[in-house]
Amino acid sequence: MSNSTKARQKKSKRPAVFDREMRIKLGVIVSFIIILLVFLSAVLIYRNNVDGEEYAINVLEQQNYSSTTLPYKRGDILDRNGVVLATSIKVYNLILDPKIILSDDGKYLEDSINALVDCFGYDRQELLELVNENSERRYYIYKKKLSYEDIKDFLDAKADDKRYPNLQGVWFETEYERRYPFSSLACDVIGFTTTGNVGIWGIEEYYNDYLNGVDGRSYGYVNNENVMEQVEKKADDGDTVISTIDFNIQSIIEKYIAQYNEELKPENIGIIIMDPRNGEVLGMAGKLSYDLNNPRDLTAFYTAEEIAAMSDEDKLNALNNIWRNYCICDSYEPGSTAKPYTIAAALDEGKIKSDDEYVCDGYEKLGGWTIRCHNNEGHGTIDMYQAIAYSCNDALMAIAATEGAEVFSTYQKRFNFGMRTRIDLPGEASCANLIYPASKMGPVDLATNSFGQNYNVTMIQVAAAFSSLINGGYYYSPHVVKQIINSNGGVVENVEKTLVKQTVTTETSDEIKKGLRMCVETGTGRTAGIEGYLISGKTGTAEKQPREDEKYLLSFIGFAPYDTPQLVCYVVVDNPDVENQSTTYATTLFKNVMEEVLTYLNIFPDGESEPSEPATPATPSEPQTDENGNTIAADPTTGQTATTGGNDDEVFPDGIIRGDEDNNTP
Amino acid sequence: MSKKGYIKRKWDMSLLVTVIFLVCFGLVMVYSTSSYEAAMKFNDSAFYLKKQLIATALGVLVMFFTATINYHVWKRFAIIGYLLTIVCILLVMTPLGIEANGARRWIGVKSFSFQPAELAKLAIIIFFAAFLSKKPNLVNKLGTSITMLFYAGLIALMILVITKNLSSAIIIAGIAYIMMIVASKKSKWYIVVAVALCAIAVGGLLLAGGYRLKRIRVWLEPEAYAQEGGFQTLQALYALGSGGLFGKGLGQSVQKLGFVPEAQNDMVFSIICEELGIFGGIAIIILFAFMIWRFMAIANNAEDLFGTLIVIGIMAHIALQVVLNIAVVTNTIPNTGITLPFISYGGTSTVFIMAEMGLALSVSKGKKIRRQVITDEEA
Repeated sequence: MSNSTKARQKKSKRPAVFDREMRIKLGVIVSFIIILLVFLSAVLIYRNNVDGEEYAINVLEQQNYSSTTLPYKRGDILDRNGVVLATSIKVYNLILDPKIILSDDGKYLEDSINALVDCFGYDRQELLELVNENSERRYYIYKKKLSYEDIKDFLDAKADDKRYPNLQGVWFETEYERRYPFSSLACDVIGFTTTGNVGIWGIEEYYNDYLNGVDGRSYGYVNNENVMEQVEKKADDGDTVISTIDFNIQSIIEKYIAQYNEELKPENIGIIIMDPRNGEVLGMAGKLSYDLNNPRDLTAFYTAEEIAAMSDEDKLNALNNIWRNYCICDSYEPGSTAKPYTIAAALDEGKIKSDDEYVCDGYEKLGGWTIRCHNNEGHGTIDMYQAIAYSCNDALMAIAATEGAEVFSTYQKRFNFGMRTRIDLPGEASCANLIYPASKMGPVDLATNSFGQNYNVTMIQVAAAFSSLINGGYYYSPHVVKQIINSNGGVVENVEKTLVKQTVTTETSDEIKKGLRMCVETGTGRTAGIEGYLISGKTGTAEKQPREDEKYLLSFIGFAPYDTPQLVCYVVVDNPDVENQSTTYATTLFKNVMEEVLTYLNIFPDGESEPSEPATPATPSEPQTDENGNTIAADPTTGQTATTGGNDDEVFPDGIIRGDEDNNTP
Repeated sequence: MSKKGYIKRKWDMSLLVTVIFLVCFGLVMVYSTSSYEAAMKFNDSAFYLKKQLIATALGVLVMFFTATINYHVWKRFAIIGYLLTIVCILLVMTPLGIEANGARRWIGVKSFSFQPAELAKLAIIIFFAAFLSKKPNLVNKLGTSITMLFYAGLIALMILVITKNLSSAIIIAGIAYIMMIVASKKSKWYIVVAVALCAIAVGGLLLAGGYRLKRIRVWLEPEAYAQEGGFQTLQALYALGSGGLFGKGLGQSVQKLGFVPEAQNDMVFSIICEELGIFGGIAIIILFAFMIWRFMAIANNAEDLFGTLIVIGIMAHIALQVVLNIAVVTNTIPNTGITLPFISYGGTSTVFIMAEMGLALSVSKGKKIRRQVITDEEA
């Protein structure tokens, strides 16, 4: 009891105080506690550093033993008619537990090894060595991915107590393996999976969360009597995704792509077939297809020496190039297939009337540039239908100038050019930065844009916009999935048609259809015509950059039947390796594909009364003769330019944009 | 005690914030560790969480209640509380007693149950604080010291014999011991006696053998005695050791999936280390260390010796449980089954620990600071 405490006490009447000595003792105790806590922290770090790795391994090892994951089945991907495009098959891994096999003085050894040798035909000596070498292991994967047929014998033997009464320490772990019954079919749309059920590309990636389920688990725990008990929680299987893709249409598309690829060796080919009534994609493919069951195999594309010379990065780049979906990932200048949109915009805004006439003299001079029509002699006096049918650049430039940059740009946005269509597939490209905003669109830009040069689009953008142009103006967002059902067959989600916007009025749509029909009937797209059907559409021959290389992207987009379009088909042939790059390659490809698809879908021919077809009655027929006169006048000198050739527009660095003069069918 | 000398004080906010954080963290960890087992056994992953939530809500109410009222009130209940504890422990032997997990430790009816051992800890703290502050000089006499130790020893023994709860007995004895050692002027003797008792205990254990000795063996070689009870320790060690620096991520523990039995109870710290790593484990240890430092500050500035001793008792309680729990989880000492305060699942212990926190806050509110005169002048 110190004096200082007493001194402090005088102020208070408290009978007892917490004096200095007590404070020191408390301090010592607290210090002691803190030291203990520091010591325990050190133990914690020690346990992690010294034994951590061993413990981590033990955690994993025992997880496989007493607590088994029961894998879920990843959902199937079906085509619109129920054809299985992707599925998961149960496979079995054979697991050995050497510790159990060797326990109880080797009582189980003989029967267990005998059973394995008899049922699977494995090598006895090898098994014995393996079991003895791993005598402390509890989990050894001996064989992977056995089918049910492979292990059936063994399961029977195991169930039969008499054959191998002491069979122990051998069991199976189930796993699912992803299989694609048609290997490469619709590879761009389906995509594939990597280990752990992670979808890469296509529906596999976009709908990964639906396709995947939740693992179940069978786990053992020790109860109060120290006995291991097993509890099982079943796995939740993934949902099945039903695609809008039609197996047969996809097969037809891929057949012709392969054929044209073989003949023309183009840089790329793409075909999309859509239903314009709801935005469902029925088929979609690019040039490169790969085996979904073996997506990393490069041998189909490169020689063994080439592959050996590749670095890992080269390989990955090569694979990515193969895996990408041309129809949604790559952008390009559309060329003349863009003309109907330019005219639709002017018509819709009332800037032009359907009976306005334009004089094509073969070129237009704008700001020091000479922009030529593909027919250097000029198309003469034509109306807007003929401008579509004969793909006249001059008329289009006049129409675009009338509507102005503001309207043109507004309609580009309305048709969703440059922007993602939000199709339900991963990796869709946006090329919005390659579209001129109205504020930056000069007269030359407007003129070249009017016939589809100097801005970029993707195939799906064009197909979706075209669908709206010919279905009365309804823009449905394109999609490749129709319905999602769960593992019990219940509907999880119906993907309905989603009307995004009205692009043009129904009247405008009807007028444009007339021009498109004329294009196939008498204009540049005649080779796309199919007997008996009122096929309508638009050709495109876009000149690729750099312009002086004179390489072209040939395309055709068309629809059928005429009155209520059910199919839109867009074909792109990029820079075929031929002398004379003509849209005929695209139109005949379109014709071949559509001929088979129309027959397959039992779409009745609507063109029996072709002369009395309601689409182009009075208006076009009158200028037709007028136009014909002009064409005939031009023809003797330049050949069949107007009727067979595409329209090609080139921009030369010297400031001349000109059309391709000679573009005949080879 | 004139009111004039004291200014109106606030609670020790850093203690309050730490308590609230630990309680919330505890709820998260209870859900994380118990959801899988709860889903398996009761088909409701939040089964344990819901029960713990109710206990926590009650605990918070109790804390604010005890924090608000003047702690001197409890002096009057010191003897009543002590006797009540004895009655409650005896009740365990009657039909009111409830047996769970192979131990008869609870009393109650229907859904309400309660563990007398937790009441005993609080009762001992108040009883000792009241007694020691009333006649501080008597403690220095041998007779009184022995009487005091007898009171504590009686409760500890009853807990040990009747409810077969060694860990609570150790904690009760430990609380009493620490309070005595601080209050007594003859602390040297306490240390000598403690060392001697430890020696006797170890010697006795070695001689006695049986159940206790098995625990020691399991402690020394959990791998070899996995079937005899080392399973839990071993699995907790696996969990703790496999976490690495930052752990597998909250909720990502593998070991709680049936390997660490009742991971939400004693072994919750191992799952914290597995999910949040060494980093998370040490962060929790630091929080507890901070809390203990706050208790010391409150004890040092308390209004009177009664308040000081209460806070020292509470500090001893928390410190003993934290140190023993973490020591068990890291297999530094044999398994005794001590829960981690605020974090482990357990209704009674949550409510009583919160009551103790309320007491500590109440003491901090009434605490005297030397600057009071200056403050008065400033005011």
